[in-house]
Amino acid sequence: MRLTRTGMMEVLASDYIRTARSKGLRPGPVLFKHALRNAIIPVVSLAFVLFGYMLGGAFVIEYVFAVNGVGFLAVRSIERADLPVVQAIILLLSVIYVTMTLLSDILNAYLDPRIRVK
Amino acid sequence: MNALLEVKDLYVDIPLAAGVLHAVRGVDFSVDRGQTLSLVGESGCGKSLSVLAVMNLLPKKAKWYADTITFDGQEMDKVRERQMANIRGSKMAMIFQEPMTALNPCYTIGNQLEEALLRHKPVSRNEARDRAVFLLEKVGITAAGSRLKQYPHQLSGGLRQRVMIAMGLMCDPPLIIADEPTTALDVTIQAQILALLASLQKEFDMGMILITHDLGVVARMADYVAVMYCGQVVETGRATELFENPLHPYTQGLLRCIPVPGKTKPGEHLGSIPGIVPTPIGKQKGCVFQNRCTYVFNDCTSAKVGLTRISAGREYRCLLSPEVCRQNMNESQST
Repeated sequence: MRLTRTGMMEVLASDYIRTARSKGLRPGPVLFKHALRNAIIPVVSLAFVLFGYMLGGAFVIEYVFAVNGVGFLAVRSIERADLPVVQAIILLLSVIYVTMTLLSDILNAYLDPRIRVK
Repeated sequence: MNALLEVKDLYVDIPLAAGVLHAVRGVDFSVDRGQTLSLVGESGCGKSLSVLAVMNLLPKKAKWYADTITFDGQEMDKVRERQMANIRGSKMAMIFQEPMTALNPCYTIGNQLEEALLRHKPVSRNEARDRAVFLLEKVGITAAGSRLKQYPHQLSGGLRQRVMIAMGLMCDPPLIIADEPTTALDVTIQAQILALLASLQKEFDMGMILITHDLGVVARMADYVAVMYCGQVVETGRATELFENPLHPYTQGLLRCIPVPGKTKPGEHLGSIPGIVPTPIGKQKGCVFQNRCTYVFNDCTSAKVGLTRISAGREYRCLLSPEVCRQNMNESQST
């Protein structure tokens, strides 16, 4: 949220917002068409990075509160040296993480044409 | 006859922690259809802020007020932002100085061009696209149809500036304001862009305000010139008159700074105006140019220095008489 706010403020002070206003566009389109799309790009990247931390956090939370989940299972398997289960969990989480990162890149490329690769 | 745009006694103030910055202090200018007015002056003298105030595009912090601003027979300071937004783009368009950052990187130039027309005229997307292609060809962009699908970062600086110009022309405005349209470009492109602006202005019979600090550009483009210094207009007149017969010591100083081929010897120092610009924060007493002027005398530090009118449209802001000013210029040239 805070990143959106600071991003928005930075973008609103930029030259192309002034250009948009000089075309006589009303505040609505200026904000939502021209400003938001530029401001949201770093937010999208960050959200997916944070998702990675969330996976790590799940281990701690599930263990501490004894919630039955992947994290809890992983920790218990490590305690019991149950190697196949540990391997499976790590593989599963890695695949999820990599897919999410890919998704974030695709989304970013859609939002920002400058990072599209031919 | 009423001018297309007439600005009287415009002030722009920017409140800062250190005090109020008086960026523009009582500026008058007017432009007519088919005419070019050039605002000249060094960085920070209030050229850009003056026109941004007219378009009501100043940063939020800055406050502006004016005696009267009339545009197309309509008084503007009574016009609210809502109506102002209808005028911007359709009747008064602006070309900005940084084509690198003035276009939105996220949208195709076609999208950004069409948007200007769709906002003001009841046209379809296809009609807007046709207009965009027509104007891109007008500003000398080849394969205009396929360019529409390109993004700003895929274009060179010169092309982007042409896109900016085309964008300004989308609604066929009677007045176009070009804020240093050539500063970010290299010299060969500069000449092309200027020639383009001049020909488009003639073709569409537009009034133009050209902001620049390049006197060469002024000499080439302008019908009228207003020389600005420290938020004030210090001298105005027809371009030819002003160049032949500069009166204000600042204008004279500027003209002396230009190297003349054949006259300026190789290795010789180029002319300069001694001193620095006074701080624009707080009120100022006397003449704004007093601390850099060669001809300064006692009254300059205390008297209120107003514009003296010599003939219609020819004014200067100095306590010395025109004869003395002319003599000063002649003497400085002979030495």
